[in-house]
Amino acid sequence: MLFNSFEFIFGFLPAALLGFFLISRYANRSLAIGYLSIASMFFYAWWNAWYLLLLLAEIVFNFLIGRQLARDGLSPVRRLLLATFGVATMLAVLGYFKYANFLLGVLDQLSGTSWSAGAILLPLGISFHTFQQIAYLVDSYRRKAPRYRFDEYCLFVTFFPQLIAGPIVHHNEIMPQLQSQSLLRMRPLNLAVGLAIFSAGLFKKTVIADSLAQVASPIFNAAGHGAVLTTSEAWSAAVAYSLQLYFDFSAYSDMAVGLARMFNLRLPANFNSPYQATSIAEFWRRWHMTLSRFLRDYLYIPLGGNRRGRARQLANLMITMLLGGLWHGAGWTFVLWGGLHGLYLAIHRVWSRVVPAPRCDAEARARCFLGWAVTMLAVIVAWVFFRAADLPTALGMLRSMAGLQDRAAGSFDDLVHREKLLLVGTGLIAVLMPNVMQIFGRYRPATFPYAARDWFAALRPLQWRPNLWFALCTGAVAGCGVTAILGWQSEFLYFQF
Amino acid sequence: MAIALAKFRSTRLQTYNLVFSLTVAVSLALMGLAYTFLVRTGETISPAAAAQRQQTENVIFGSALFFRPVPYKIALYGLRRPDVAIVGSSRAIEFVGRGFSRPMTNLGSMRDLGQIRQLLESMLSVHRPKLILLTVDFWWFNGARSVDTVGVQPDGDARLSLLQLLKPFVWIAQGKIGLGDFLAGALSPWYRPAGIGVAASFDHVGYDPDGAYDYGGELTGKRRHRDPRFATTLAHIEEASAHNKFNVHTAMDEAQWSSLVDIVHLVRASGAELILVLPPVSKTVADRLAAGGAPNLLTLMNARLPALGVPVFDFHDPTAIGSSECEFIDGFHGGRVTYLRMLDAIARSGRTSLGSFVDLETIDRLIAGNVGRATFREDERAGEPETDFLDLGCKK
Repeated sequence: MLFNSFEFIFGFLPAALLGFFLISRYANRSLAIGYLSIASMFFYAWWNAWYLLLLLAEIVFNFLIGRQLARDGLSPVRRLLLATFGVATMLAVLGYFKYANFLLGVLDQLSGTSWSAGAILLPLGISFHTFQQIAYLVDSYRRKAPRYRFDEYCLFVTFFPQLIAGPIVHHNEIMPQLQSQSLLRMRPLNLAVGLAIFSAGLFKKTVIADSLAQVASPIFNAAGHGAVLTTSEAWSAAVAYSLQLYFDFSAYSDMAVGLARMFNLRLPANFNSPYQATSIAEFWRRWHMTLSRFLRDYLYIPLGGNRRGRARQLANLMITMLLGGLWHGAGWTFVLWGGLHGLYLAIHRVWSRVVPAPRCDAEARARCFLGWAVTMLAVIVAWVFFRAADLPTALGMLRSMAGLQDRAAGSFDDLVHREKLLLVGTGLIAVLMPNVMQIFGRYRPATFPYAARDWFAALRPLQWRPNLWFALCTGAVAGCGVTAILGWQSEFLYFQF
Repeated sequence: MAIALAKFRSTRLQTYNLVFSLTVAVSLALMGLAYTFLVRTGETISPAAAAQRQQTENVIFGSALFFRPVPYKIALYGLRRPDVAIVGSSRAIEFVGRGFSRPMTNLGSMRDLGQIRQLLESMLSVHRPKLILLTVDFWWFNGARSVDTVGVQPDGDARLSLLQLLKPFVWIAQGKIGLGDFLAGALSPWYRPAGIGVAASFDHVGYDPDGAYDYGGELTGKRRHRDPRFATTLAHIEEASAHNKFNVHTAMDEAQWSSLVDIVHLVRASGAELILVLPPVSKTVADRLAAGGAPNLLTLMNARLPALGVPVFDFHDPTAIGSSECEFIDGFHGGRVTYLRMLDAIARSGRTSLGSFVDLETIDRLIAGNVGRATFREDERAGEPETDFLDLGCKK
């Protein structure tokens, strides 16, 4: 079920809210949590009921392994073996569904064989809930995860706002909230804040991101079919996709945060205006923050992080980003995308030793602007690999962007001309405006994966408050967001990962 | 104090919730009305369903929001299975069924040779016509021209974007539709529009059941005409850059020429007879296009067309068939009378079998009764006569 669908907004969501708070009020806590878990499973099964069984099996498996790891009498060797077994099993399931055909394809190319695992339908959200549960297993092994009740653990994994495309929630930040008594009482302010955040996310998805897709998709598709693009077409498509991806994915995260807030829960924020970053390292502290937090805590630091010399640090960065790229999809374009970002981060690391990053005050404005421009150029170039259907398409796009295969006129000149206002307008929003989390900053809409000083820095008139003016604005945004569902409707881009 | 503050916050939140809910409700209600209006007027109907309805209800189809000629014309062709198929761009769409003695369908409105190829392949896979008349535009061979593109427009039932849903309110503000029409369309379950689509229902603009195009309100003065005294067309030619389709001072694009050659082979292989027609431009426009001197795209194209081995009829200069500027829709599009004159000239030439598919007597009568007009007096709707929409001093 899509968040941007009528059946979700007018059917599932009211039923889930009403049922949860009625059961909380008139029955007991366990029943309420059980109800919300079952509702979340229904939400998941709406797409494919069979894969709900896989999800449930993973939940039971992880919970039992976690329980064993939390036991006192187990020897360190056994605990290590158990944790390794748990993590390996989770990775094997993810590997089968996501990477089997890719790996067999690579093997075929190397050996000349023709093996195939057949058509495998990727279970929705498997990359997200696998990482979420691996973090729990690893923390259980490290004795950093308390013993949880099964119903709470089940809801932690299945809670529908974050189940399919994140944010990748850490058990430490959600479990205490699930155990809190305040979870069960309906709070009008939380409902209002949550609904307003959800409306903003819906607007970003159905009005902004889907409009940008109308520019990016036809041009990328034409390039995929071998069309030679003009420089302006290639740049327009690359910029449109960069913006589409941001508005699309951050919209989903906003909607997830808003939905959770209606249930008195705070999810972690996932985006902090990444296109305002003045360095690539800063970009990764602002983009998909829950993924970069996971990669940092469960991959980069265990690999040694920056504790084993400079060369090892650069290698760790590269390994982390390559695997981060592969997490997004089984294909060489994703590996290259991750590799590019690894390279960017390595260059940035070396560069920042030579030239320390300035504070972006009035004196360093020019340097910061240059840093921003270089970062954006690097990010947009990398997105081309991320979006292109294959390597030749990506390379063709980049050649066009570099002006190496320009044509006098392109097939999409009219489209580009017609939509340039959309590109400029949405670009300015991404680069200059405060983000949704900042606009709702007064009400602490989310938990924050990274300490950032500017969370509440949105200009005061732009900070949402439950007053008449914002009621009108938010109502109009909600109305437009819901109405736009009638139009060209797409799944969220991150569903495919 | 604390209690007072809590009460104040609670009241403020209640006010917020009330205004928020009302705003959402009002915006959804307005959008709901707009959606219902657009659905009931046929804006969201699939092109295939529109073609089907046209054949049973004999109404015109003109959408104000979508332009999807390829699936529409393919569906129309499949339903009508004509003996004569007219194929080409918007410069083919004024060939009308009147004057034909055998079933015909107008499949004009194609953007370029690529779409024409797509159309012909679909056509020939369901039915082979006896004769195909293909109009050829000179700008197809300008390799540097930018191609007109439209956004993603699905072949099936159309979904409406937010901006499209706002359009009825824009039309009401512009006076294109009345508030009463809008409310009737949105609220009355018995609402029956005059055509399929808003343009057809309110402006009588759209495709006839035979696929020819009815310019409706544009010719009656109901709508302000877009090309008075051919000023817009002449400005386009004057300002034509190298990338513009109206630029004739350029070499022939060999890839496009090969596409035309392939199309000719495709039709010949099917066994259908093929006629190539160069449609007319208004005399003023023809003179302006020739102003740069030869060779230009027109002379280059004319020199190569005979080599294709099919009958070619060059009507670029409308005076050759006795058509005056008063018979034009705009600088590049002749009206129905001009196109009837072309049909007459081709049929009488004896170089093709077209004569056996038309009724020359009817053609002569229609031409004689409509000299100086873009459309036929016989088709005028009560109270909506053709006007001097080009502002040329034409007597209609």
